[in-house]
Amino acid sequence: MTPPQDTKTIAEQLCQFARTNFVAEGTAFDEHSPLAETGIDSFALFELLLYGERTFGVRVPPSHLTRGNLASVATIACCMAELAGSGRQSPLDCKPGSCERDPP
Amino acid sequence: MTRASPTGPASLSCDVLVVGAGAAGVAAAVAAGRAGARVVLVERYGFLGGLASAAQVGAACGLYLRDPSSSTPRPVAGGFVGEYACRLQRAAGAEPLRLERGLWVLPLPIAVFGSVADALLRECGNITVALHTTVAGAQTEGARVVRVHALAWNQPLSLRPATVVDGSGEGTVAGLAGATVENGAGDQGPALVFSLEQVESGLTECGLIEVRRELRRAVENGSLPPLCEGLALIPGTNCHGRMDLKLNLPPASPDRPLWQQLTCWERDARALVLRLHRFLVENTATCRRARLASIAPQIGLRSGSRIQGRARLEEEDVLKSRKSALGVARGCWPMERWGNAARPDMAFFDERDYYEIALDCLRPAGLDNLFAAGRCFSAGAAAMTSARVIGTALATGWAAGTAAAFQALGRPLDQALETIRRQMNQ
Repeated sequence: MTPPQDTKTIAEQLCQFARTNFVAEGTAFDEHSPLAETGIDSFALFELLLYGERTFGVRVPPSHLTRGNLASVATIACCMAELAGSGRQSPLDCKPGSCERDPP
Repeated sequence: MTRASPTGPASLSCDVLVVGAGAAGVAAAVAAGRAGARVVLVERYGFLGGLASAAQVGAACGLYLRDPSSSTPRPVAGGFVGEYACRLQRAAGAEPLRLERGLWVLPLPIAVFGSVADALLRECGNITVALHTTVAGAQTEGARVVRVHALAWNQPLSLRPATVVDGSGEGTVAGLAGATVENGAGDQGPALVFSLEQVESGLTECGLIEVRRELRRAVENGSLPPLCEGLALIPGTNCHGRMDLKLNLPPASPDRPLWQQLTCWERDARALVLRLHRFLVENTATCRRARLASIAPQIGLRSGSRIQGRARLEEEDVLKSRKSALGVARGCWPMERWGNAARPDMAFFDERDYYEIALDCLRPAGLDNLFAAGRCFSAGAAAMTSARVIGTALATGWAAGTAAAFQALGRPLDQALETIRRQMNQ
C-alpha cells in the first residue's frame, strides 16, 4: 500500500490511468474534464475508482459514491485525499471537507 | 380471408405475410397495411414487441443522431421511425436520455413497446394478427415463396401470401424456403435482464459502482464466477428505488448446437441471477433491502442468422456513414460489440451523421417475393453490431413492409423506393 499522497499527485496518476485506458486519442482531457463527456462510461469509471483505491490505499464508502464526487478526476482525487487524511491544499483548489457524502 | 377446413389445416391468404412481431415486424405490418395490402402478422409469443418485450430491453437505441454538443435529441429520420419514437415517448412518459459521447436512448418501461405496437396495428384495420404462431415450413415455386406452414397454438395453419417479410430476427422463413442464411449466433453475447426493487434511493445514482466493487472482490476470491462482472445498468432505469440490470453472457460457442447453447444460457443465467441477488443483498449497502422483482422471460439475443442478400451492409459503410441511392433505412448507432469482456467494444462514426441501408440488403439472393428486416437482413457481423438496434429495426421493417406491399399489389419497386425515401426525409 502506498502512503497517503496529496490531491495533485492522486489526480495526476488517475489522469494518466484514464488516458492510457479509456480516453480516445485526440480527446482533450485533464483532471477537470467532466468524465461523462470524455468517453468514461460506468465500467470505466469503476475501473478508475478501483485503480485509485488500490494505488492509494483508500476505500471510498458507499455514502461517498455520489455524482458530485465522481464528476471528474479532480473531485475523485479530492475525495480520496480527504479519506486518506491528506486533503491538504493543492493547485486543484480542493477544500478540506468538500468531499460529498449522502446522509446516513 | 379465413377458411376452416374439417379435413386439413386452417388456411389464410393475404397480400403480405409478416413473420415476427418485434420492432421490424410491427413496422413492416403497419407499412404494408397503410399501403393498402391485406396483411397477416404471425408471432410466436402471446404478446407483441419481440425481444423488446420478451427480453425486457429497457432502452430504445438508434432513434436519435449522436450529438455531444446538443442538449436536444434530433431524430435520425422522419416517417414511421419518428412517429413510433413519439408514441413510445408519450406512452412511457419518458424523455430521451443523453449518455456518454452524445448518444441518446429512449427509456422503455416494461410492456410499453408492445402496447404501442398493438395500438398501431389496430388502427390499420386490415391486419390480422396471429399470436402463439410458430412458422415451421415454407414451400417455394421457382423463386417465390408460395406457402408458409405454421402451428397456431397447436393447430396447423397454412398461409398463402403474395409476398413475405421475414422479421423473425433469424431469417427463419428465408432459411426454410431454401435461401442461404449466415449463422451469426456467435458474433455477440446475449444478456439476461432482471429488475431489482427497493434499492436504497440515496445510493442508487452511483450504486452500481459499489455493486461492481463487491463483485470484483467476490470474483477475485472465487466466490462468484467471472461472468458476474458483466453486470450493467440499463440507462434510465435507476429511479424510484428500481434498477433494471443486464447480466451479459459470453458469445455462443461454434462447436455447440444452437438449441443446446440457448438452453444453457437460459438455465445457467437464471440460476446465476438468483445467486447474484442473494450476494448483493448480503454484501452491498445499495441492495441490502432489494427485492428481485422480475427476470425477463427470454435472454436478449444480440445476434442471430442473417440472409445472404443481393447487397450487404459492411463495416466500412457504417464507419464512413455511407449513403446509397437505393437507401431505404438509416442507422445512427455506433458499432457496439458485446464479446467476452465485461464491457462492449465501441466504434464510432461521425457525430450528427448516419449511414443508409440499401433495399437490396433486405432482398435475399434467389427469392423474389421475400424481404428481410431487423436483425436478419444482409450485413457483415461488424456492421450488424450497429444495425441491430430498435431504431434501425423499425426503419428496415418499414422499408420491407412498404416494398412487400407494393410488390404484392403489382406496383413497381422503384415507386416503393421513392415513397420510402420521401418519408425518411420528412
